[in-house]
Amino acid sequence: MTQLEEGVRMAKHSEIAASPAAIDAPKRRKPLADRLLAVIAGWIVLAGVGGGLWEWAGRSGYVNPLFISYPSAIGHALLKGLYEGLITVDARYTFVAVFLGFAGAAVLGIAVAFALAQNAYLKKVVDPFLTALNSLPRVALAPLFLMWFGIGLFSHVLMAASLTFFVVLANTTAGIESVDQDHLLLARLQGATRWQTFRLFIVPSALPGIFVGLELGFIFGTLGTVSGEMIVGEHGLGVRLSRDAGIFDTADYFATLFALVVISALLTFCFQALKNRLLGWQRLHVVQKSH
Amino acid sequence: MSGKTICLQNVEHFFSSHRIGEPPTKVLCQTSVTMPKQQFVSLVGPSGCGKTTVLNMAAGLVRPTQGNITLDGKTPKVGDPDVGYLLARDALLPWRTALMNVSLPLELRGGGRKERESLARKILEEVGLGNFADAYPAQLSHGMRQRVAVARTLVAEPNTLLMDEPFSALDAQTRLSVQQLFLRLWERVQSTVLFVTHDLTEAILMSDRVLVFSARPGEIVAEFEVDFERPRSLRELQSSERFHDLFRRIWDVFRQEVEV
Ligand SMILES: Nc1ncnc2c1ncn2[C@@H]1O[C@H](COP(=O)(O)OP(=O)(O)O)[C@@H](O)[C@H]1O
Ligand SMILES: [Mg+2]
Repeated sequence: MTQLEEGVRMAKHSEIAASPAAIDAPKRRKPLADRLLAVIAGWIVLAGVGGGLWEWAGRSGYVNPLFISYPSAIGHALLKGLYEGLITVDARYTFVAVFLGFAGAAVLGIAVAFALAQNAYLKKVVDPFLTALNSLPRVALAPLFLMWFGIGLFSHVLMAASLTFFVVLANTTAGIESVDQDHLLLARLQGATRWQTFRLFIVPSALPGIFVGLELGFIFGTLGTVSGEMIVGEHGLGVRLSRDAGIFDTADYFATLFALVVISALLTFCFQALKNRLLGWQRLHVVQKSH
Repeated sequence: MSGKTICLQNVEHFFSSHRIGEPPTKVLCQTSVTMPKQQFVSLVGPSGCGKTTVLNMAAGLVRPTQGNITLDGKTPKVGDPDVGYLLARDALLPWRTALMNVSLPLELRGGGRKERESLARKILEEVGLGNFADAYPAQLSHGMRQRVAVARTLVAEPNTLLMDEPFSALDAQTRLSVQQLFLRLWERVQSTVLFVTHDLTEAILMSDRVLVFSARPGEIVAEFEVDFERPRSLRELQSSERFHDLFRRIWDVFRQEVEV
């Protein structure tokens, strides 16, 4: 009996050990990965070393600067580009197209995923066609869009949408299918209506998948618009890229790429901040697994 | 609080085989049994003998191939607010705090927010987790999670409880403390309980009556009354002579089924 009492006390102990208070309790030195200043310092060192090597390789002629240019020339090209509408005209044009295409396709992709999840028959019928469409190299569609809709914004919006849609659709579907069968059983046993099951059980389960889809969808949408612009267009970062490449202006080319990367990264960063706010519970799993 | 009378009349069940051309498998032989209201009845039997199937019939999830099952004379229907169901897996929603998980059944039924949260908070305190109302399931131990699941099952005060090996996933010490906790809550309200387990000790400690099932196809091969007084202290009971006597009597029957 005393042994049992001991056991019960131990059990209580082990339960407390896993409590949220205990997880946060030890206030020892934070690991390096959690210290912002250390991380920023790492970034600076990495960029400095990489940039320095590049600068040296290009300037010393070790590698022909015609092919790889070097950071100071690119910086110069970037400044020049800022005066010539790199951001105010071309980047704006590109990202307006990406945004419109992304937003429309994301809404449609999520809606179609949920609609197909509700109707198994429809899903079976539609699936092979979606797969076929999705396996189409989208760049091959660009000339078609341009032929149909002209060399305007709309063609480039469609290019973004044609990629975003499928990425969002596939990831939302995966999210919906990841719903725990026990949760659905619970919903039934507690008399949840169809709408309640959807809203309180299925949507929250699908949310992580939806966010993955949106994040990738944005990257793919940018890819679609830029590649469309590279084929033909009036304005846009893609137009700049193909023009610079045509005249072997490598520094300008890298300056445009740099602008593209920075803007995409900034938008992705904002997006992740939003995701972390909405999906805070998901990170708790990570916390527990690492302890 | 009262409770429903669960009644099986000549119930028989087959599951159709997944392979075409094969005959259906018989999982339950013709069974008739009545569980009066407010009785705590355990079904024990070897794995695969049809215990969960019987429970699912009472929940309305499975219709018997033959015969009738009724709760207070009515065909069970899924989602009956008077019936609570507890699984071995806690099935807590990971995106909801303990409090929000416990108040879920009330939310589905459309109670006011204030009221359902105060009810949920009260029952969380009763299962000893008052300080963990705002913790997410990932922050809780197995035992705590299952206690949240118990609270979620009891919050809407069902008068009939269907429990499918609810404590089998817990380690021995935690299991005993959760069993004792559950029993203390149950002894106050005395709802009807149909409790499925393959753990004979648990069946004897908790229930008023133990039904022993044979291996598949299941049928009731023996039935035992457990007349230990309530409220029970499981630790004391477990080491008492009367417990061991009863255990030996039931084990003699149970062993033959398990060893087949
Ligand atoms: N939906 C189903 N379809 C086919 N066979 C099933 C189904 N559910 C359970 N069975 C079979 O019926 C038998 C009894 O299952 P179950 O009631 O879960 O047993 P227990 O809970 O006693 O372990 C098992 O052999 C199982 O494989
Ligand atoms: Mg079972």
